[in-house]
Amino acid sequence: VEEGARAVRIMQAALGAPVRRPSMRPIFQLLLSVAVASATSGGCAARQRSGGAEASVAAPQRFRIDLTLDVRSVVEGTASHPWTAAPDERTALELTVETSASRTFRDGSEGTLVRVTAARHGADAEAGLEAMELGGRSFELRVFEGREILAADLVEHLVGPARQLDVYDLLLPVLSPFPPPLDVGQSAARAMRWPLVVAPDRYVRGTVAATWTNVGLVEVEASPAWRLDYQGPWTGKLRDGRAQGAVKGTASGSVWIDAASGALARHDFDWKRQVEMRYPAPEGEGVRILQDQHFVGRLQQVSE
Amino acid sequence: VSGLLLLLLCQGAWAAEEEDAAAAAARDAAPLPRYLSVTELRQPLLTGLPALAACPGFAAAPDGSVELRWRIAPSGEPVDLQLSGPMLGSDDVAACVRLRFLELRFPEHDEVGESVRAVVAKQADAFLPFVDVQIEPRSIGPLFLKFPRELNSADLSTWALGLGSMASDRAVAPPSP
Repeated sequence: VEEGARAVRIMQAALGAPVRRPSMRPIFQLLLSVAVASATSGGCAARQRSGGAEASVAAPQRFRIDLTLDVRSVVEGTASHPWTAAPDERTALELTVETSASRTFRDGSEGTLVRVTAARHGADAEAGLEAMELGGRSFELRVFEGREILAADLVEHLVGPARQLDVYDLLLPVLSPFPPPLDVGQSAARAMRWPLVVAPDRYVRGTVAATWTNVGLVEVEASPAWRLDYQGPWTGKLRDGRAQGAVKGTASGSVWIDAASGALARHDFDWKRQVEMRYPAPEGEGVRILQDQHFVGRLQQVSE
Repeated sequence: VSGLLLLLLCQGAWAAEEEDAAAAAARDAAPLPRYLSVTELRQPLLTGLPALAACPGFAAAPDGSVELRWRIAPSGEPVDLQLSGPMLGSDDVAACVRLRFLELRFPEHDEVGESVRAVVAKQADAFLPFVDVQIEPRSIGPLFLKFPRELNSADLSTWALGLGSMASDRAVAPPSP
């Protein structure tokens, strides 16, 4: 080709025709088309939104969680502490969470860093919520393939008053639901289990023995996603120092899994439980507290 | 040209994002302790003792003791310092001790408002080490139950101890001799 072009230039010179310089236009056109393609597919955020497996590992995923918690308590065995006359209460909780892959363990499980980037709570979301100390704190969720939860580490920094991940421990399976592979219309049982272990004598272990149904392919934010509905009994055991307790309740919800990337796109949940805690006393019967907790909320993936 | 500029801007944004993610991962890989131990508190106190003793009038004060109460911010900065004791003498001495004490830095931690009490004693021209350090961390209270918002931390602590869920706090350890 070069020789041909050279021959043409020699002929043009011999005939007195002007010699054309090589044009840079194709190079600029190529760069411009790359830039336009980048801009039209999401600009600088395009890499995060791509659905490939590589992107889902390298780029953090961001979620927004909104929920309300209705609480009703019954105390037996004492009338002298300040909680006895506490009214029933509703709390609104608003979280933004960022998850990113942190490490791979020898057994093939994956560590996922879960950072609560912002957390606000209050009695009424419309009247305004106030920041809580859960914001800015992180823990590591260790999961097997398919999001089955194996452990949650570093949670001791997220429990107790003003942080309260111990109350909202259902956020673990909300962030990492564990549906079975199903054909459309098919149902199957698969349990979700999660341990929230603060210390050897402070833990809650929850289980939802869920029955899952594949509803089919639906659109979520203009992307096709598999919708899977579930419902089942919610049980668990708790220990808080010398106090021990149990959980009984029901859980139901819907999970949307992005069809292209396999990432969690949305999770609507309606979970109820009764927490029973028994505080032993050196003498007498001790204290028994029953607390009804009703969680209703939604997790949704966000791009920003 | 505009395409090239857009590409350059995107490259910059991606690089910044990756740096932020790396910084967050490094920070989360080494979480701060929720409570400081007595040992971690004692070392900055011992290090700062000569500076306090050098306050004019403090060394010449009669034998006695000074009690210090303060809180440690999560950054390690001492705040809300309260001084008391016969050794302080004049206001100038107290102001000097206060100024120099507030320059001390303790380890960073993840607890909000950790309270500390310490006593420094002077005997026969010698300043004794701080022998009485007490940490009063905020109780984490009973877990797994949603508390009414109007309960304050003192109520929670009292209640936690009363219910027996917290026999004693793990962060409180007897001072070493």
